[in-house]
Amino acid sequence: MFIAVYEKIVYYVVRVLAILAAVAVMAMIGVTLVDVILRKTPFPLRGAYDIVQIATAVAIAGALPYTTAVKGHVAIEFLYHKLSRTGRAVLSTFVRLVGIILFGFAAYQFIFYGIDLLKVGQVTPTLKLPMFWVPWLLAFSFAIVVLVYIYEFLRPGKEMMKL
Amino acid sequence: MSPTLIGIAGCVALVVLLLSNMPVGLVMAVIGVIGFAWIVNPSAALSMLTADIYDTFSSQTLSVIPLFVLMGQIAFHSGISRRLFAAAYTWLGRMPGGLAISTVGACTAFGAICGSGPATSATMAAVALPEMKRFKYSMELAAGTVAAGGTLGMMIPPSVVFIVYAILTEQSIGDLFLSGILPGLLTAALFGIVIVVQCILRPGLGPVGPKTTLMEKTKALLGVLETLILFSVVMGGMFAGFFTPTEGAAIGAFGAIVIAACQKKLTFKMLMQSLYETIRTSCMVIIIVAGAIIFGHFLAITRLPFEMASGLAGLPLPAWMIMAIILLFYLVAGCFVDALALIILTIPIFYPVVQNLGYHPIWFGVMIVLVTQMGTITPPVGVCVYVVGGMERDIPLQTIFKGAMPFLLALIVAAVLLMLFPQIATCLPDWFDKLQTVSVVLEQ
Repeated sequence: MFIAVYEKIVYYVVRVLAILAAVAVMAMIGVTLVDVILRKTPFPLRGAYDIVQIATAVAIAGALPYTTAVKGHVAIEFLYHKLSRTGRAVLSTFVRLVGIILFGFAAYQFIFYGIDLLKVGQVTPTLKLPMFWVPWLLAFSFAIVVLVYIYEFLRPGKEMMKL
Repeated sequence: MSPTLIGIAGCVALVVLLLSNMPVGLVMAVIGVIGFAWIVNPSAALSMLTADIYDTFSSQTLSVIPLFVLMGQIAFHSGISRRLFAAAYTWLGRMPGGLAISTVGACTAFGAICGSGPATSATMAAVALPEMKRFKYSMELAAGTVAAGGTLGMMIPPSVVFIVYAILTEQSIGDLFLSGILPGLLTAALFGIVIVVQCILRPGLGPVGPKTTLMEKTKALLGVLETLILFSVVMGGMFAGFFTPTEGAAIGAFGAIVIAACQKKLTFKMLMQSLYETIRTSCMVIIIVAGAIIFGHFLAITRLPFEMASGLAGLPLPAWMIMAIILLFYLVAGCFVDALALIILTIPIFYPVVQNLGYHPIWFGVMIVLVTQMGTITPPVGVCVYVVGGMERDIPLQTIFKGAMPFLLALIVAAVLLMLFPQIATCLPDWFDKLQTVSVVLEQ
């Protein structure tokens, strides 16, 4: 029961983040196009660079849990497939543990990184948009990656979602 | 323990962890952080981790990747590849192995709008293999051609590998794109020769196709038009200085969406599918780049790359022999490690060596792409072969590997030609630089 609810919640959060990433990619196209078109007119778009920079961060932050959930990262698998079932299980557990530790640490660090940016008032160069929330979004994304790895512990060998 | 020794230990640990099926980006980040913490301190290592990830994720330069990937995805889903193949077949079908040559032609054209080798292989496997089956082509030749033809997508611009190489070595993306055109066409021509020679020696491999009229040939050219326009606008605009690579990529992605809409292939489902595939591929690439930057910072404080660069440059061997050793390393390692990951992993180590030896960075970029292309069709990690095998499950993997082997010979010939005549890679960027200088002078 608990696993089913957990799976459902994480699944939907990953999906929402993936949609957010897709919207960010479309926004990058839209903003860049408008910028190129209006560049030679008396009404140029100000801050296209800023928006594309933020959209890139949102796109990759949103895509990370999805890429992890569909096992979309590149890994060298040929030796892994030669191992026994137990060997593969041990190795997979090790890989997930390392992932949980690294992404967990990074998520924790990003909360403070965001606080630092808030304190120093970090903004984008042209539009002066605040940037502190970007590390917080990254912290959230990394925390969801940790939850995806925990899901893989609970349901070994099963992908959370298909591509 | 000296920093250099820690660096060597880090490289050994990297290889061991890579073999454990751990994602490549994760391995590099973990080793980078642990190594940095060892030499400096844990707090500095964690600060580096966050700063490097934040800088990579919010890099305006890297925004070019999702945009070019989306352009290729939309092209894939909208049937552009099918029309390219039909056009190539109408023109080249009468030659021995005409369908296979048409596949190479279509791969070359599709590579001009798609920056990934495996994606080009997957596309052409879906389009060309059923046709070659219908015309009773040997599956060895057919599948080998599709797998090898896909590798052209890595060399012909826009290429994701070139974008990443340009970012890591601070070279111009435009210059690298230009430098890939002639080697890409040369490789395609060599692939064509390999097919013709095989079909002359064993006519049963690829029967000659039906005759087509001039009218049919002219009509088929319409299928190439959209790709030609898209490629010309994106690359032409970039090379002429009208827009930056990111702007060119955004225009390309938008152009591909417009073409799909005109062909009535654009649906919400197709767009979302393309976007999901785009964010997955882009995230996969950018995570590896972030890992490589973290690992690179660790290596930099160990001074290992500089020690290696001066050590290798000081060897009593001619520069070309050292370069040949480096390329041999790429060839062997490329058989085991994904091409993009391998290039990102090794650039911090070999790039200073190449600079010390006095080689052109743009030429080196083309060479390593060419050499790692070989790895994508050789066992055990021939990713393009696996892609074709995954698409056509009734063809055994060993048949595809066997079919791809003659194309490996063509890639080796291309590499030797590039070693002997580096101008094949560098002449176009040099020519464009001169052209731009002349136009600036004329404007003044």
